[in-house]
Amino acid sequence: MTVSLLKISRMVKLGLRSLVGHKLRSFLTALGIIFGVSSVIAMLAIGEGASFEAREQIRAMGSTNIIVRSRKPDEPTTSKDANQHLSVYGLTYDDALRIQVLFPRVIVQVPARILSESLRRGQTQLQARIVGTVPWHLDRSAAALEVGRFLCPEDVTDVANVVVLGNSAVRELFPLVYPIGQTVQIGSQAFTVVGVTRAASGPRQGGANAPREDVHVAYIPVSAAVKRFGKILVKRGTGSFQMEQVELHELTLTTESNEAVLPVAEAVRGLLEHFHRKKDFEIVVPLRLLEQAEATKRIFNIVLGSIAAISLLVGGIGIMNIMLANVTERTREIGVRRALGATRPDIVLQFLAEAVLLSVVGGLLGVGLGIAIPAVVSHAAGLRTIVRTAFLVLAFGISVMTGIVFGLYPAVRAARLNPIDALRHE
Amino acid sequence: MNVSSPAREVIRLEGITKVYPMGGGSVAALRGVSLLFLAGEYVAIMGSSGSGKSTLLNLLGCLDTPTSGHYLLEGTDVAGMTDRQLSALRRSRFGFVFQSFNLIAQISVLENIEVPLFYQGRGRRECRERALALAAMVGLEHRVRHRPSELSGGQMQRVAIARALANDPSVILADEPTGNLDSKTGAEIMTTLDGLVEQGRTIILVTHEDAVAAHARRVIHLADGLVDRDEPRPGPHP
Ligand SMILES: Nc1ncnc2c1ncn2[C@@H]1O[C@H](COP(=O)(O)OP(=O)(O)OP(=O)(O)O)[C@@H](O)[C@H]1O
Ligand SMILES: [Mg+2]
Repeated sequence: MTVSLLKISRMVKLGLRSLVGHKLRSFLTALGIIFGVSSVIAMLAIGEGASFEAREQIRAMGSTNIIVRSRKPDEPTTSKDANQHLSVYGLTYDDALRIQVLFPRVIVQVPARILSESLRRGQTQLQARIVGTVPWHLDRSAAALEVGRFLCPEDVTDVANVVVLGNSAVRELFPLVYPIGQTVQIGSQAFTVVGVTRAASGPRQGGANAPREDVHVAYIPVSAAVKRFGKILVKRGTGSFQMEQVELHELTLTTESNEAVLPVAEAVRGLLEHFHRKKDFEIVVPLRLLEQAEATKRIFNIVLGSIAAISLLVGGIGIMNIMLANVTERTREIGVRRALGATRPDIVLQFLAEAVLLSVVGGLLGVGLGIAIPAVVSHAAGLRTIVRTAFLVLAFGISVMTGIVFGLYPAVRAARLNPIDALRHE
Repeated sequence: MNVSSPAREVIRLEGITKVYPMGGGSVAALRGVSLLFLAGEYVAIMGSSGSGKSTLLNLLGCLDTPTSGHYLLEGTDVAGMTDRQLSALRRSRFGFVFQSFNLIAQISVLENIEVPLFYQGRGRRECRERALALAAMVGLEHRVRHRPSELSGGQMQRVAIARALANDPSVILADEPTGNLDSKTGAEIMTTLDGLVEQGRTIILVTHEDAVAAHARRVIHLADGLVDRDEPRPGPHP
């Protein structure tokens, strides 16, 4: 048998007329599909938006980065002075140094500590940015060395009271004297000047109104910054208080490539575990988080898919229900059509076309609503949503499938009737 | 009808029975009917209510299958036919006219007439043109856009006749075609049917009314599922 296009177009017309003939009933039936399709699209769009945000955040951490964080160990770590409840834990600058020495191709970024202390020599006092940092800081900053030397690893390990001054500070503090070997006061501490930097010359000057980099700078070893001006965190608990001292809160290791991330992370973990008996650090690998986010997204999609399936199932049952009623109501018509020469496939086609039409119309309206809902959610709740064409195609495709699957049984039932039994039906 | 040509056999029934299961037992609507119908015959089937007239007509139209016996349509036993073949017979060989018209309410008069044409697989234009011609033939060309519910009973039955003729069938089967009509309208319908016999079609109709049977040239009386009398109608023929 050839189901000609003509036949199909006739059946579609017929189905359309039947649906239009029962507007409210058709609309209510289609509503199940409309809600099913639109909620599927909306959920997928919200899910996609959320996972996109998550991935963006993780990507912002850098996929080639490894983040090592200090972490309070589970059992209380007692310090030298247990009475004062001072707990000392976490990463140290030695750790950072060791990693930098052992993995020369990895860039170890140590967050600089900025102190709000003043620089003083004799009667001259300056407000300056006191930067506690590491020897390799200069390589990655816009500043360059003018005279003397920058901080060296020993300065950090020895917690030396040495300082490298920016040249603007030098001009203020040492207008007449050669600064190297001189002493300046930072807060109450005396520091020896070992070098002078200048802000990198070049195309940094903006227009006349550009903010001038006239803030005075001074670099000291980060260990000195912690030890001399160190931050001791005071936490007040119930009835007692506790102090914590953490030398380094966070280290960022930048590897050369995504492939290097995991091996380096493992090696760094081994190295750190060797020096940290208590587990007082954690290693976060954004790349792995990214992979986990992808996996989570996959699970999320499966769950959403199941919800989609259920909601469309409900819509499909609605279609089946109405089509069964339809077939019963129109049994006589089926009998007449059979008497006039309709074959069983003709009858199946007629009722299937009606069911599919119902799901197509419902599906299209659902797609419309499915595009609108995420837009409203984005606008109202500020959630990021992403509607992909694939979602629309998927949801619509499923709704049409639903129409076929749930329309088939009533249609076949209609066609199975004996012509004379159908004709006699009241 | 050309009297000199040898009468061609259209339908032959041999020992047809039809038994309906009913509750615990069964009802024998036909209990062994053997009949022969020739091309161009005009036959009325009469009998008291429940004698099996409708059952017989439905079997003749391949709307139902006999419990036993043979039904030969132009020499071919329809018992072995598939649903597809039977559907093809119904749409091309038979035209049905029902007591209750059986027009499809949701579609227009024209579309009702088009239904058999459509199932025959004719093109859109052809369907339309032929349906219009048929509507004109029964005098309803000005009503083709109307819904069946907007027509009178007689008009509805004329639409049904036009529809029955759509695929130019050789046999017209009519179950009490005037049963729902007043006598004047009924007479008009009968005149229309008479015209079909002139075209050489076979007409088999079921009726209670002698006035209707008077149009036929052969009257078969059924009684309790059996052929009681089968005789040419006495009196002058038109
Ligand atoms: N589908 C059916 N199921 C059971 N019994 C049936 C069925 N159709 C007909 N019968 C029975 O078969 C017998 C003949 O029915 P049929 O309809 O052929 O009578 P009829 O001669 O057309 O009567 P009427 O003049 O009242 O239309 C009746 O006894 C009827 O009850
Ligand atoms: Mg009857």
